[in-house]
Amino acid sequence: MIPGSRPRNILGVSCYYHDSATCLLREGEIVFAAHEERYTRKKHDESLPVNAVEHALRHAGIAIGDVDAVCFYEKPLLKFLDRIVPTYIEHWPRGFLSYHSAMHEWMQKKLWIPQNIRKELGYEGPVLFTSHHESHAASAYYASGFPDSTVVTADGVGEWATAAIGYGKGTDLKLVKEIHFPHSLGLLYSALTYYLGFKVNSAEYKVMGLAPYGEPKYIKEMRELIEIRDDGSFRLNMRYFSFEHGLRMTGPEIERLFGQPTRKPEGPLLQFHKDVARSLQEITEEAMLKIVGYARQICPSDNLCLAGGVALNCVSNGKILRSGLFKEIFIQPAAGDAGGALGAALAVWHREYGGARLPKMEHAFLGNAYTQEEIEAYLKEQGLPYEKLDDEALMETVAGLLAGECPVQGPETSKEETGSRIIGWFQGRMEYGPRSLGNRSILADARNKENWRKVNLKIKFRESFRPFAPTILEERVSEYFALDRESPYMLLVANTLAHRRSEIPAVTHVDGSARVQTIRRDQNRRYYDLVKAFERKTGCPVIINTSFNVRGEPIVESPKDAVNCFLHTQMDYLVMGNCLISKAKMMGAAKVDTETYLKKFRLD
Amino acid sequence: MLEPIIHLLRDPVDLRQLKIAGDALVAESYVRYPILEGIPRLLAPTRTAKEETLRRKMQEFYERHTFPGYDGIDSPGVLMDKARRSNFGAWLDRAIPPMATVLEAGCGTGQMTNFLGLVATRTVIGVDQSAASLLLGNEFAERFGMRNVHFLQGNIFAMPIAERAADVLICSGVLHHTPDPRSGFESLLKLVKPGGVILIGLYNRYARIPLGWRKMLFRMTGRAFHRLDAHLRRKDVDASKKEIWFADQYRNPHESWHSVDEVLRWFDDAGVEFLSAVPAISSGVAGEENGISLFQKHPRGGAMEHVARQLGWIFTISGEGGLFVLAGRKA
Repeated sequence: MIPGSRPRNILGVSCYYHDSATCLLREGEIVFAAHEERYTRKKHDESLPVNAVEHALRHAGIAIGDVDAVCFYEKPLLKFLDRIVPTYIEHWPRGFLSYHSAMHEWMQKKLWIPQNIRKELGYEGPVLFTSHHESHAASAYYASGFPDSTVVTADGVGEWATAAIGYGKGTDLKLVKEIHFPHSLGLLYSALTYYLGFKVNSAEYKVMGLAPYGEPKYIKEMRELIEIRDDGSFRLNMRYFSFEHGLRMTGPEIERLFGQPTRKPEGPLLQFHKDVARSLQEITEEAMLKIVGYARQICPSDNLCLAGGVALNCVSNGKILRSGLFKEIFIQPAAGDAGGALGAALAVWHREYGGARLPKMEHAFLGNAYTQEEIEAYLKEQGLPYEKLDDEALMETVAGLLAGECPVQGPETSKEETGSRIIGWFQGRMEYGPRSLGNRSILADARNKENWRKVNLKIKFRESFRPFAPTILEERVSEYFALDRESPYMLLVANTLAHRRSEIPAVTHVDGSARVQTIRRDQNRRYYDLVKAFERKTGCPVIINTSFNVRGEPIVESPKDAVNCFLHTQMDYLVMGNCLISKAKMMGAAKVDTETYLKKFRLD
Repeated sequence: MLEPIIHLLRDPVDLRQLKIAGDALVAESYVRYPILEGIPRLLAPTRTAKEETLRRKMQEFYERHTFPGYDGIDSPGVLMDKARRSNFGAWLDRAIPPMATVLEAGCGTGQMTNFLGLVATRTVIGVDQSAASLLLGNEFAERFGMRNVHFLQGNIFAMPIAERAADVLICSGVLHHTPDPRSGFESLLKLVKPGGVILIGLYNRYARIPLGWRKMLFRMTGRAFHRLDAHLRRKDVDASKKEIWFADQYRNPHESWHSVDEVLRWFDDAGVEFLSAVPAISSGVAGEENGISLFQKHPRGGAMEHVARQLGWIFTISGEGGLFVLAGRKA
């Protein structure tokens, strides 16, 4: 930055497909990043991220007029003319219905992105575009801190490309090879997700979680669906898919291939479905391994950067890591389309402004925060009783509650008041990316099998087969998991060491694996201190960390959302900032209130 | 587990306190009200013999038809999804404070009672005369360990509840099946704390008109024209549920229809301040992008506007029974 000049602000935006988000860069530094869904409370909200932008500007203390450039994460006109229109022409008259509604959407908003951005954000400066996979690649490479790196992105579909290989060195990043629509690993995964009766574009992770319960019995059928060549390029057999021209992901052909109808969303989950999920997972891993292997050949480097929706498949990431092809791997935590906002902004920072590299992105706590005063003001306004503790007492108390220590020992302590508690943990800045990483999390003791059941059935209201992710102190990760490095974004799967499995059953999958999150004090001081306090009490450096949300809703954003989620589930305690709220105490207080009230009236 | 609410319960005959004695509640008059299958049986007769005859007929009807059932609702999450889909449930849940005592008079199978009880810090009580319906609701509450939810068998004209016990009282789709809805409203109001909220849901005089016509037609022609009913046409509802819907809507032993201004008059006469209506009867207030803020004071609107809105309801809410709800705050 030239002395005396104003810092340059770049705003990245992704929207109109799914998961809209924004990211604000100031002189290349990530000042703020957040998903729009957290503010509108509409899951996977795809509208222009007006609220997220407002919070970004407020956080940075600037006005929209101070923004030098807004960049959009894909090239809408290219996508429209190059893919959408030709695909429909090729398939006409099939797909008329889907064509009609898609065209409507394009004409209404997608082709008017610069105009809409200007209008809805009140912005007057330039609007720039980067291509979809360029955004993904930039979001991983420029945030990795690597001096040079092989870059691989893979997801459903961008403009044309569904996967891309590239190479970054210094501030240069080039994509050298692409695989094009309709051949797409992301769409294959989504189509099978649909076939298995889960929600496309949001429940792919459930299929991944289901896989360990099955056997890879359908690899032959999978090879019928997708042909993988040694260079990692692949082709889908379009006989089986209808996403080119239809509103549905798959057709009757795929049902014939597997010999079973598409599962209804609330229908029973059979071993067959688990076997298909496992086979799909295997084929995805095979393809990803081949792609990164080929990428290493044509763009050699010791480092690998991964992004795009497929990079959220943490099982395959773990396999890539263990293959030993690369020394270091960086996976963008916001690997899905929301991460495109960050990538677009970073790409423009380097390309248009010739900016310098930023250091490695060490954490994803990039959203907005609430101050202790704001939190207390909300609790007082709602009349909720709370206890305020200083930092040290807070960590000590909460770690004790997690471990099952009883806060008030006495003759009146009932059975429910003993045993380990489940705690809503709301602190500091909100996470960017799809996972809760310790600032908007539900925490529990991973040693306790009963907790596993309780959190699944009474807090998440979800299928009991789904395991939880463990958070572990980074310095002790190798003592519990077959992992020798950090995994701060819960994007690597590693096996729980055999002799530890019975110690932490709630986070270990049937196949012995776990989706690990490591934590260091410089990444998140408060969360680290809490796990550390738990370790001091119990000797165990691992706790359960799951996202803080009510079923079907986005992760909580504000104290209001947190209280709402706390009340609607069977969580025992809520910790917000330095406030501790106990549900048992609230119930006691409510009862005393009515009793005194009724007594007062009995006199008349 | 009646201990936490025993102070709110009363002998329905003399309104004196009750005591828990093993598997029964004992009144000061030494009358024993048994607790059978987890439900205290506190049913007492209505004041006049004629009204009691009608009530018995209604009770028989609802002992036979337990509507709506819990098929497919096998977890609190599913109940939550269902209640959220009906906007009223979601708005009500949002409006009721976390530590409130909530009373639902005529709770039927208790889906709303259970849904509101998912907030464990609330005390929620559902009263109905149909034991068969209550058992369904109670079974769900027990299965999911919802100890803050309580179901009682009782008569809404002789409620087994202390006066001024409830922060929020809900009575929706019930009073129009009774001989004297207005006095029903007045006696329920006594159970609300001063400053508490009462919500009354009734069949609308206008929105019910098409159904009245269909009812006449069906009576003359048998099943031939059943497809004229939007609900009976639905493909996602199975035959047995349609049968119950048909019985509830077309074969109900007794029903009356009410207009918005009529209920507003009840409110005025009883000193209840109008808060809101579903569907809306006037313009909204600020901050309602995500639905009506039920406990916030809304403009009341004029009589002409009410007529226009209610005529509109013929085309909007008529297909699902033509029920409207008014919320008011007790002085």
